[in-house]
Amino acid sequence: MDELELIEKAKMGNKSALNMLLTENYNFLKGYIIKMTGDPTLSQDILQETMLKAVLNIKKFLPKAKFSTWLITIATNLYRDNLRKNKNLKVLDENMVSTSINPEEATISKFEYREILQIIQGLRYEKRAVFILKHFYDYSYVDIAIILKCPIGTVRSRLHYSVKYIIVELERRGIINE
Amino acid sequence: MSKKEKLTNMLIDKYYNERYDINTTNKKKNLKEIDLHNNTLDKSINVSVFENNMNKALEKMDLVDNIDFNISMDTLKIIEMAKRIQIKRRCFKENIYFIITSILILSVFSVIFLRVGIKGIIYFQLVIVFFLPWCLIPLAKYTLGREQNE
Repeated sequence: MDELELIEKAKMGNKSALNMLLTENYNFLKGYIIKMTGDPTLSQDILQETMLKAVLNIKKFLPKAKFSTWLITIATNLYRDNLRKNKNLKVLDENMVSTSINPEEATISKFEYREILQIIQGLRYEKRAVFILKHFYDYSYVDIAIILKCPIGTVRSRLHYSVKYIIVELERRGIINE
Repeated sequence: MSKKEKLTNMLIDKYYNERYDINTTNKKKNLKEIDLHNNTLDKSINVSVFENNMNKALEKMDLVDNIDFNISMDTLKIIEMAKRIQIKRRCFKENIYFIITSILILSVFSVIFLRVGIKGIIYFQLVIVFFLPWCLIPLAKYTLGREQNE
């Protein structure tokens, strides 16, 4: 079934359409939140709150953008609010599981991906969001600007800063060599 | 912004296939500029070294692309939870409307009775006792039917 059709049905109160919409976007949303927070408990809370808010406000959703983009916007806002409430959050947990193809490769890269996740967490949340949306999800500057409600120039400069920061950090930690 | 910074920014845009440029709004022009000055730039500001490092760094970033926590969530439960919240909110709103309407009606009647006197109250009560059941029963049936349809 087409996404628009599902949205229309969900707006009419159809539970299975709503469930399908959430299930289809679940992994995408989860991946984004995990990369943003780097913390399993917080990821779970934000994931649940995002979906709850999406269900509560589904009637307000205008299908100008994709449903996933709307979910990302909600998740980003919730994460920002959470950061404002508790000014902490730099936890990297042992529950982290890499789903890399090869187990040997996974073991070798375990150290590296923890380091990489730490580097991503080292960025401020707004820069992190820009980098994650651009690098992992290939959103355009325009879309990111809409999601984060900021000018395109700001998105661009945040991405530039993030990439440069990541290069410097990877070099400093010896993960890449000059 | 220094020339090196401008060029590194362009390279990042190039990596991400972005057309937008805040100054020229033309990615092709930027790429042409890089191509045109590539030989001289390489010597002076090591653009190719930056590009090489950037490619390596961003490739490394892909390691966390498939990262996962052991999170499982039942979307149906969330939908149910949302429905419960919606019902609670609706009940709260309805209670508030009921209280406001009651206060308004009672105040209007109080004003009227103060002006009309005791006779008016008795006539009004008689009218209410006679007509109210005729109005309330169909109204209740309609409301119950609507709730069942929802």
